[in-house]
Amino acid sequence: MIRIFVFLFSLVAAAGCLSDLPDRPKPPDMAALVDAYANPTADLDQAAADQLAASLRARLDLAGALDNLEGLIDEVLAPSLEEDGGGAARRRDGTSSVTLEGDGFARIQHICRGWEAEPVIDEDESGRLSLTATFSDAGLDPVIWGELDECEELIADHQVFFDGEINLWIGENLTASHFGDSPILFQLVAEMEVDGENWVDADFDIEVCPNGAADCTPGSLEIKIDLGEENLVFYLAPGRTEGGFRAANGDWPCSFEGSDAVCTSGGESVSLTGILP
Amino acid sequence: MRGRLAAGLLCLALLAGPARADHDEDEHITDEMPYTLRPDEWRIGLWKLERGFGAGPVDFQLGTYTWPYLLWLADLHLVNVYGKATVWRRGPWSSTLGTGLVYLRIDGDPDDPSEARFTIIPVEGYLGYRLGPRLTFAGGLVYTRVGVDGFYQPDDDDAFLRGAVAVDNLQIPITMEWRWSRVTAFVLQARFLAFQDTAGDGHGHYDIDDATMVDVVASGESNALEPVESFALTTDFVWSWSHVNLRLGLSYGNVTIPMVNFVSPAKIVFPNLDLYVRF
Repeated sequence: MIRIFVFLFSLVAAAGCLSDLPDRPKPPDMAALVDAYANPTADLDQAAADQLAASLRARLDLAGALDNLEGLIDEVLAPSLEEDGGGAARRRDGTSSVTLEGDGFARIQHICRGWEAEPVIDEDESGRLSLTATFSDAGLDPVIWGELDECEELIADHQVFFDGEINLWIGENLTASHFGDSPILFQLVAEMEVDGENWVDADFDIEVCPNGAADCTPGSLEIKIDLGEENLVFYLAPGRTEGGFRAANGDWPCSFEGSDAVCTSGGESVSLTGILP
Repeated sequence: MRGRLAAGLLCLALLAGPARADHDEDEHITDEMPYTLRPDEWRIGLWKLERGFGAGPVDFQLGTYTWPYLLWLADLHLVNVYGKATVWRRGPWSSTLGTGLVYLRIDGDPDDPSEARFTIIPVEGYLGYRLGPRLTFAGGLVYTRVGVDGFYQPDDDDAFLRGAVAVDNLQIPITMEWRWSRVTAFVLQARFLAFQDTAGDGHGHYDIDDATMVDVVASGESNALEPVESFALTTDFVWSWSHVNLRLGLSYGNVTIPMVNFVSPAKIVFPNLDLYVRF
C-alpha cells in the first residue's frame, strides 16, 4: 500500500515541474546610496563649499560628457520595457511582445554603437551593455543593474569608454508603462575614459530626470558630493534656471553668474568659484 | 442519424438477450465508483477499452480512452492509459486508488521548430458503501494536473517563446447507485470542484533592434480558469444485460471534460451516453 502512495506521489510531483528556467537573479543593494540622496548628512558652510567646488566641477563635467545618460534610457531601456497592455518587452516593429506579468526578470543585451559617426554593430569591436530588470505583479523592482563590457559609445560627440558595473534606481513599484516618468539614479562603478582621457573618479552617481518625464522636470539632475563620511546634494535645473544644495542644515538655492555661484540659506551665504562648465 | 443510432442500440440490446442478473454482488458499475473489473474481464465500449487483472487480494484494471486515437489521423500524437486498483474491501465497504497518464504532442511543420506537449496526470481515490443489495453510496477525490509546455518561433529571426502552464484541480464526486432491478440502475451524482488553479512560466526572446535584444523570464499563478461555485448534477440510467451495458442520462452544471478532467466555466445541460460490452 505504501508503495502505491509513493508511486502516486512521485507521479504528481513529476507533473508539478514546470519548465526548467533560470532562477530570478538578486539585484545589488542601493539602499545606502538612495538614502544618501534623500537625506544629506553634511552641513554647507564656506569651508565645505571651498572643499567641494573642485569635486562638483569634475562631476558636472562628467555629467555633461555623458549627456545625462539620457541616450541609455531613450535608446535601450525604454523600448525594451515598453508598455503594451500589462507591460511588455516589445519589438520595435510592433509585431509581437512578451508581457511582463507575474514574477520574473528581463535581460537586456545591447551592443554599444562604437565611436564612428554611423553606429557599428560589432560586439567584439564596440563592446556590450547588459542590464537585468526584475519585476513582480506590483511592477518593476526598484533596481536595474548590469555590466558595461568594454563598451564604446559616442555621447554628445564625446568618445566614451566604459568597463565595469552600472546600477539604476528607478523607484518603488514602478509599472513598465510609467518607466521614465520619475527620476532615475545612476551608479557607475566602472573604468571610464572620455575622449581618450582616463577619468580617475570612476565611482560616479547621478540622479537625472529623463526626457518626457511626468514627475520631475526633464533634464534636471542631482549629484551627491561626499565630504568625508558625510554628503550633501547639488541640484540643477536645465538651463541653470534653478540650482542649489540640499544639506543637513537646510536648502541652499544658488544664483549663477558664469561658472560661479552664490548660495544662501537663512540669511547666510556661501560662494563657489568655477563650479559650472 | 438519430434513427440509425437508435436502431443500432436496439439491435445491441436484442442481441444481448434476456435480462440476466448483471447488477449483482460481483458485478458493479466501475465508472467513478470504488470497484474494478473482475480479473480477466474485458470492457470494450464507445469511449474506453479496459481489462481487469487479479494479483493476490488486489483486483485492478488497466484501460485507455479509445476515441482520442482518432487524433492520429490529424497527425496529433496522443497516448493515454489509466489504472485503478481495489486497495481495500471489507464487507459492504470498498475503496480504490487510480491514476493515469495522457500525453499529446503537437509538432509544427517540418521546417518550423514550434511544438507543444500536453501531459495530464489524474490521481483518484474512491470509497463506497453498499447499503443492502439495492443502494450503494460512494465518494471520491479526483486530483488532476494538466501540464502544457511548448516552444514557438513566429518567424525566421531569433525571436522565440518557450513556456509551460500547469492547471491543477481537485474534484469531489459523490454518487448514489440505486438498483431498480437486476437490469436497471439509476445513478445520481453530484460533482463539486474544490479548486482549479493555473500556474505558468515562460521565456521570451526578442530583438528590439539590430543592436538590442531582450530575454524575459516570468512565472505566475492565477485562478482565472476557476469557475465560480462549480458543480455538476448527473442523473443516469444504466441498463446492464449479460454483456451489453447502456448508460443514458442528463447532466447540468460545469462540464468536466473526460480524460482531461478540466472543468469548463459555463453551466450547461449536456447528455451522457455510453455503450459497452463486458465479457
